[in-house]
Amino acid sequence: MDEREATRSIIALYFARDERAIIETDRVYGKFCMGLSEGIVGNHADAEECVNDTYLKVWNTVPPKNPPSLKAYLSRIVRNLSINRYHANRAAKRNRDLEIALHELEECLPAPEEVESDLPRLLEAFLMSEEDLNRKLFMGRYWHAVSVNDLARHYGLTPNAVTKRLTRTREKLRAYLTERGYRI
Amino acid sequence: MIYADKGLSLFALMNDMSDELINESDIRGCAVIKPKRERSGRFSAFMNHPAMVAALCAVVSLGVVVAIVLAGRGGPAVLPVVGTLPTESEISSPGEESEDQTLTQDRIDPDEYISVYLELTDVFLTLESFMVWRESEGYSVDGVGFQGECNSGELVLNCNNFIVYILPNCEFQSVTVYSGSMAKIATATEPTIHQTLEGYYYVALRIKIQHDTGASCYDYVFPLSLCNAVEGLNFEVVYREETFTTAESETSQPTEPETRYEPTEQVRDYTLIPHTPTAGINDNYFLISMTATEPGKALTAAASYQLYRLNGDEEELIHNYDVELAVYEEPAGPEDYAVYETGVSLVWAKSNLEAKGDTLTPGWYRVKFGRATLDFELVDKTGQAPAVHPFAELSVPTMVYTSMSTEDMALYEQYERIYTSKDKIEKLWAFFTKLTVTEANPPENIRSGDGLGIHVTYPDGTKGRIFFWGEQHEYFYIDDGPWYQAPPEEVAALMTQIKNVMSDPT
Repeated sequence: MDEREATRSIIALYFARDERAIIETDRVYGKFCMGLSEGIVGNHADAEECVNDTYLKVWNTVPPKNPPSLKAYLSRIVRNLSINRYHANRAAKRNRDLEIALHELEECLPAPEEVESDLPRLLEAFLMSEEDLNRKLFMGRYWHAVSVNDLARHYGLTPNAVTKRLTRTREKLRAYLTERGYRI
Repeated sequence: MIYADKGLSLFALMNDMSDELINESDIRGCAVIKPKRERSGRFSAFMNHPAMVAALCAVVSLGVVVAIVLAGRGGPAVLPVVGTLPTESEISSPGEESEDQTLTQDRIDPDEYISVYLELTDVFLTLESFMVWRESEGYSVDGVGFQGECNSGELVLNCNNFIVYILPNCEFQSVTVYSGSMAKIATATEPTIHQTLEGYYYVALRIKIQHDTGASCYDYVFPLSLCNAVEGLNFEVVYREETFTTAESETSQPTEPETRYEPTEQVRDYTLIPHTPTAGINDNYFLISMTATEPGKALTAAASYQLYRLNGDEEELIHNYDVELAVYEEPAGPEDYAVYETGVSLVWAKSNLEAKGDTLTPGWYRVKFGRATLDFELVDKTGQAPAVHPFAELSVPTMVYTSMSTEDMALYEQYERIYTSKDKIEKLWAFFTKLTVTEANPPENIRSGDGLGIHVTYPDGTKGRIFFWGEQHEYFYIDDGPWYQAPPEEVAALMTQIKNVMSDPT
């Protein structure tokens, strides 16, 4: 079953207010959500709670929302909740890997108040002009919060190679935005 | 949302990226395969990974030294490994970088994801939850496990359950153990292999899977490390390749297996504790809870359990049930519901049994789960006076109303089992509810046959819950105590109390 089919069948359950929607969501996307959340919050317990809250939010918003991609919809929610949790926990627990990723983002992107509504579009435009691997590495690192080591293992590269590619991509992104008048 | 620091704000802002970018870059749904000729860079990367080097050092420092012991079979059976795994000569020298970009084109479907979970308890090494998702071929499986045990230096990999549990159309071919440097240590055509290994190593499981159009053999290779096992890391398979394809005349559609996973000797002991020691046949459902003999230990994956009717010493099998229950973790704290922390609940609804044609009569029954058994008595509670309960003493500063059907009870139990802290359970109550404490719908709107559960706070500050059951909500239990049957006027009194609180949530 591809993503569209999975989305359709599970969304139908939400619309029918059939609680099997949650079972199916967890079955199909549970591990994905947990992995995404753990990459941000840095521990299993918080991730578990974020994922559970995600299911609740999906239940409460679908319907009327009818997301074309349930996976992407879940991703955004779990990501948001995880970021909030990370932010709240930050004083006590630091996710070193994520901290590094955030620092890297700071170096190549302008402050959000400068480009708040435009940044995702600008990033997309830039990334679509990049080669596949670089684009996926960038998203993997800064959206999915995957560690460099995991990215390396997945794409068959050394961590050093991944780091180099990410660095080059960030430099190019910085230049791209500077050319368009943004201060980094 | 703007956070205090720029980095986090930017990270959050990226949430608005498009679905396509998000889905395209998700690596958690992908397993990576590498063509034969391009193996070296990947394994070089893995072999020289700082974590692997650290793992090896840690193994030595932990003093976990194991000796090579071969099973008493006159040496391992030698199978022709069909050129699928790299030899030492194909492994690159340390420090070599590989930036092979053609990997992206060779990646298998994003729907396929293979991982191995690892747990180490003392010297007990368990490989659990070897999950094979094959959604691209029309079926998916999960929770498949094969278990290994490493006692006194010997590792036993038992792949039996993998075949039985989920994939009716797959056939175990062989299991091969490789050293960390990819030297083959042993291979066997039996699903169990006894080996002792040093440091880290690879396991290759060869499985033949029957598709509609023929059969294919796949090598699933994953790395194992005793050190990483301590951390309970997940391992993605590093290599998988289709070794051969045969066209076979008969084809078969995947069918639901008649038997599910059976616990092996590696399953830990359970003690069955009856949640309802004297379950009434009038009850709409009854619950048996089980706890691990050693509280705090994680339980193994799903298994089946059997319900028997006892006639003297004779057992009459009523049903084989699949345990659709999650493995869960150690107790989060003493305030959690103990029965759900370390145990597994076997829940079945009377209506479900009756739907299968079973008739429950008073008498003794036996439930078996692995090596644990519990005998319990079903009695006829007709005419029995309900036990006294402290309704009048309850204070209810917060309450969540929920409405659940009989069939959903197992679902509720499953979710409650996964989450053990009070606030999580409260969220679960809210999750299932059609009404929240801020809404004014009265309890009379619940459907016939629904269950009603409420969180309560006792005068001494402890929290509990009351769950009502039955057509008139005349059955209930408080916390995890025994079932009571309440007369209508008592139920009505509590309903009034609930209504009062709901209309004044402060």
